[in-house]
Amino acid sequence: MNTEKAANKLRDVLNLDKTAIKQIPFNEVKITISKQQLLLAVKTTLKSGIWHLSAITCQQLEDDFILLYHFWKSGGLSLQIRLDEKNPQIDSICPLIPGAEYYEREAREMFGIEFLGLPNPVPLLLPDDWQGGFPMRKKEQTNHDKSEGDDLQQKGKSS
Amino acid sequence: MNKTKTSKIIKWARQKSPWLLHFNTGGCNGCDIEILSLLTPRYDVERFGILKESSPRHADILICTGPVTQQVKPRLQRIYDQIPEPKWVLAVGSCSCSGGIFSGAHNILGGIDKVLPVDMYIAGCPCRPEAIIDGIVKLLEQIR
Amino acid sequence: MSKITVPIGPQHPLLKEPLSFLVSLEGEKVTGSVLRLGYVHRGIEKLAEQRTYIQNIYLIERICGICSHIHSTTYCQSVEALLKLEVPKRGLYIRMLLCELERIHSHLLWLGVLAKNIGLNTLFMYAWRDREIVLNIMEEISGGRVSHSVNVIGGVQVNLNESHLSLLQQNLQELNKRVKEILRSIENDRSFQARTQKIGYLSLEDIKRYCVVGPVARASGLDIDIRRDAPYAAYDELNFEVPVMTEGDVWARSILRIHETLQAIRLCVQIINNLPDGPVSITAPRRVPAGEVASRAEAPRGEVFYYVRSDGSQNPARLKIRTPTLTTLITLPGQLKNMQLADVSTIIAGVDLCIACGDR
Repeated sequence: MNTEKAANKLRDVLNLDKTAIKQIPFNEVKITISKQQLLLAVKTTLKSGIWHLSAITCQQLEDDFILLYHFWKSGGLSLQIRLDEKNPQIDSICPLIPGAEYYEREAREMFGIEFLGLPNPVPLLLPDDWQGGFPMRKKEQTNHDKSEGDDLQQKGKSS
Repeated sequence: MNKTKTSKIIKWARQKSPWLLHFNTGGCNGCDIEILSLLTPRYDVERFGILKESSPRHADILICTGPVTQQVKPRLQRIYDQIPEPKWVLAVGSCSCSGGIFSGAHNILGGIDKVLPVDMYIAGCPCRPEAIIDGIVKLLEQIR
Repeated sequence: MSKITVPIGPQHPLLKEPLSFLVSLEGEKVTGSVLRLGYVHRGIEKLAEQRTYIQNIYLIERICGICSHIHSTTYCQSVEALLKLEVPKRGLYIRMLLCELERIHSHLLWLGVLAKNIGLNTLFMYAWRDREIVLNIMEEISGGRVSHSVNVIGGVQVNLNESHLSLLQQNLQELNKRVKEILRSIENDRSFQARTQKIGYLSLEDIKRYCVVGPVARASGLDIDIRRDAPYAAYDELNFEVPVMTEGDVWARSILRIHETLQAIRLCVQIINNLPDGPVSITAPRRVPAGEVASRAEAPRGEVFYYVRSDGSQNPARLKIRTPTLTTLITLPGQLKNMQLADVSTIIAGVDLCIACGDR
């Protein structure tokens, strides 16, 4: 099944409004769903023969979090979910798609989203002794020079 | 054999066969592949006696590329401590000189000199193999 | 039998990048492994939000030195889609030429690294000597061996003249001959086969479950290639084959990549023979209108995915990058299980990791 037909099937199964479906470049269909509909939406997408998950994007829009699940089969199919800033919790899709683990772990450590049922909730990219909060959140301004320790430029010579 | 003759021979040996240990402390790989190119037939640094070693205990010179990330810092310190004296540190590429294009990021501490005493800075983004050879030769002249 | 844990990395002779493995052994057999990434994490997605769209081209190129052009191509084509720009054909052809040259150089680089890890130093020297031909061509066109800065928003900033085209013709013929020679010498070589066959096996089921992309997926039987299935730039105007194998081990991945190199040379020849006339770029407005775009391209290691959202200001509101190495890293513990300790280096090299891409 191609992504257009899969999008229509999702609209029927989840009872979505026509305005929930949008086209964005390049050949990508974006469907807005609620967080309770996520697991059913992913199961329907897998049943339609679309099993390749390209990425899970997390971003902040006016303090709320937006999660985008990007699927692909000759065309793109993205599921958009809005999470409240006070309660950034959502079910993990790792039991259905094991390949989502790294993407969810990254969203968790960079934005602080909690994925219920994530198999390995340890940091992926940030250091073990990281104290700086959630770096990708809008409030974190990280354009500063961290000068830990002194400059040991005792015998430097430029080539 | 008196002391000056022995020390002359040791100095000559150090200059004629510097063994390198290469460590990427967070760079993009651009400078690393140019360092590996040094071993290949086009540049062939083995004719200068340079060998690329895998263990810190065998090396004389530590070649570092990339800016120092927070996760790498204790490992870099440990590797430097494991290299026996006398040892020298080369910072190859703009990132290891000063943090380069990534300075200011949340995980970057800066150049190599935030952690170790650097003997030679070789700038470039990425650094050309000819510049790296030039830097090593100038460093070896310093040993004299 | 004794159970021990061997730490591999972050400084190790296998890869030139820091990556840490904790391999649990029972005797000589691997029973499990734990991966630690993050040594090369530079926070590029956050940095990109603090720079303008034009400054980001130079930042994005330095995510990885081996596949820098494909990153900047995907980024530029995303921003061009937001601006609704149509890049002139000649610009697209020059972009594709550099993409394919980069594919050739990346595969030859990987072949040398695999050979070094197996212990076949001669092949390392031959592969990297032949790679210098490609680097010479890229330096003639763009001025840089590793980082080219050829892309701008709206096209490219270099042009090919008669001397470039004749240099390309000559060198591509020579390169074709040499790569065929390499293929001939290792395809039926018994020691190479003994070191790489039946090692690091991934089934088609595993590929689909972990959403693996690139030559690792194609070597296990999955027929995907973004250049053919969702053509970007001007790939729909070119003829090429996508090699697919079914053995799923390190040997299949090696032979597949050499076939891909030969196809890339074939594509380069087509590009220079059919290079259209005209301008190489179109002027792009400074302000990017609000919108979002999801774009994909085929890097040497697989599908690279970019999501760019603009809110009308001069910096991107969100730039999300998913590189192909992340998809293959997640399969490594499964590949290493029940393998011998001596084969660990072959498996890690056979997957063609680019940790700088994975960590960003």
